[in-house]
Amino acid sequence: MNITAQSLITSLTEILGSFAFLGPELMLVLFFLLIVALDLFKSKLIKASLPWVALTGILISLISQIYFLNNIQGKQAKIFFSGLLITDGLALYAGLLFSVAGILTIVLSVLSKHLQVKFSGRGEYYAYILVLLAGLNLMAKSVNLLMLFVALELVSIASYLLTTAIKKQQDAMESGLKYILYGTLASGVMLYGMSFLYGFGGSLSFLDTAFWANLSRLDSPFFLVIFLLTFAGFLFKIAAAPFHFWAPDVYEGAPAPIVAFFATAPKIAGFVVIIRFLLQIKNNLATTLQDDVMLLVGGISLLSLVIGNFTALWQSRARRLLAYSSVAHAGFLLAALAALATNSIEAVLFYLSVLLFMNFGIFLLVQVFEERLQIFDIKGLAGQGKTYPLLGVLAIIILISLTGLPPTAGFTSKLLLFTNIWQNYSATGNQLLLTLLLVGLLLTGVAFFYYIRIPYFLFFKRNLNPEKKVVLGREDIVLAFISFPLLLFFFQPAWLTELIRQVVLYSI
Amino acid sequence: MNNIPLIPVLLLGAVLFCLGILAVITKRHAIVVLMGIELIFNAANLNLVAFNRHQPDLMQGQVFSVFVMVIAAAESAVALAIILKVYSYFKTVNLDQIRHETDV
Repeated sequence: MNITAQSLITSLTEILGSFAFLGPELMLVLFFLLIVALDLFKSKLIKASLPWVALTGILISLISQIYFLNNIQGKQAKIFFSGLLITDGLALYAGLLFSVAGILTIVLSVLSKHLQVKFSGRGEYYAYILVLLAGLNLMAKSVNLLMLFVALELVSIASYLLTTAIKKQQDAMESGLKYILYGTLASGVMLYGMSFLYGFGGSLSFLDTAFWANLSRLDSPFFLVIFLLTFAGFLFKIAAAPFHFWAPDVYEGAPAPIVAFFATAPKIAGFVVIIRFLLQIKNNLATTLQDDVMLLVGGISLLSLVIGNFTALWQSRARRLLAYSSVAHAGFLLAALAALATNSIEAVLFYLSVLLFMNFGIFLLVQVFEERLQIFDIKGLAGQGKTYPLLGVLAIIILISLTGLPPTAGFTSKLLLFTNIWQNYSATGNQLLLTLLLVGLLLTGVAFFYYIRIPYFLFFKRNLNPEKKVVLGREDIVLAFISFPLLLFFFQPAWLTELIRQVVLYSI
Repeated sequence: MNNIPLIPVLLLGAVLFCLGILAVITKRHAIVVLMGIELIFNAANLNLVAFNRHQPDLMQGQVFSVFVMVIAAAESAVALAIILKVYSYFKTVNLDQIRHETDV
């Protein structure tokens, strides 16, 4: 009896102590509840203040994340909540990116006339964004299969609801239905894989060495099947082929700010989880199993690169083009991870950080063109660059960055990624890495053709009504702010790489 | 309780999983597809409960399966709400006929 009481007290103190590390998530949940409560009032003033309340919540969570990241040098990663969650550099850096993505999403939503007019439940929209952010933070922090599943489902369910946020729009509903069917299928398959991981690993915590020691006794084909089943859920979140079918539909149906968010934040969270798994596989499994996993990740990467880049070539609508290019970005990132090397994490994190600004920039452009000018396909852009010179120039910066050409951060991130693959190839002599490098380089050339079509139409095609309009809307200022880091990190990449280097040192 | 052999339970789970995948691939009715997905969740649940016998004291598998049931219920609630809304727009829930005119 006494022993039970003793163990109860120890676990209670541990739980209470763990709350200190959960600051950002608690803030987000608190503001989520606040928004739900405020939304009950009918006053127009309160309704109009809801986006700012949400913004405050995200800012506070961002500040607490910066506080944790502030002096990480020489510190150790800490596991809390009895082995459910971990706080380390990887999770905190991902949290930083999620908060920035959340802030940009809310700014874009406030700018969107479409969202403000067609809205029936404005409060719930901002509440879902907060709860989605909390889920993403938990996903990046989880080191336990159950916690990972719950966090991933929190993200998924909030995503389905956000896709269908505008209930008066037919194609939003259609894409929402496709999204939820593909999404639940992917998480069901992932869960089936996880059940085998639990059964043969004998534990739910995937940082245990015993867990991987048990798994390494399995036959290679059987392990690979379990691995692929489990990864179905993560690959779905990062929109890698063959789990990318939702992307074009959702990108077309959902509101532009939400699409920018989907193209960025869940991708980052998915990659954090994938990095955690691959590092454990590298550290704990036999080399034959490692080679098979490398082959599998490399294969998925190749498939995503080829499908993403070549399908994007034939798209006439900007949103579908961006959906397939997002698949291609996932392919590039997986190519770096296929080496299963610790040194590729820095390149991947840099690429993801730059991708965040590129995605929000391009989707703000999409939103401006759709709402201000009613342009939905690329041909409609003809000559608009001459009519709106500022928008045109900013569009060129963002698209050059997406292609990966200097002088933008997109070039720096692709350079770091390809250098890293080359280094790992020279170190190991693995032919798979060389193939990935060559295919990646070639397909960057293909990407040039479809991205450059947009500036080509903007500037070199004749416009029907050639009057010059130099209006400086709020959108242009925000767009300039988003494109600024793309130039900054090209000229000063050390500012970001130094931070990322420290973050990776602090990770497991 | 401990006399139940593991392999038949896992086989039953595998059969449920395959039936679920088959339903998702072949059926075109949105609700039937959703039922197929639920079968996949149940296959996973069966595995989790069966594997719990390795460490019966920790109850990890059992707890996991309870979480799965709750989350699956929440997900179906959202899915059914979306299906209802889709029906009110398109007057059908057949996945092949729900198509926006701009789809290529």
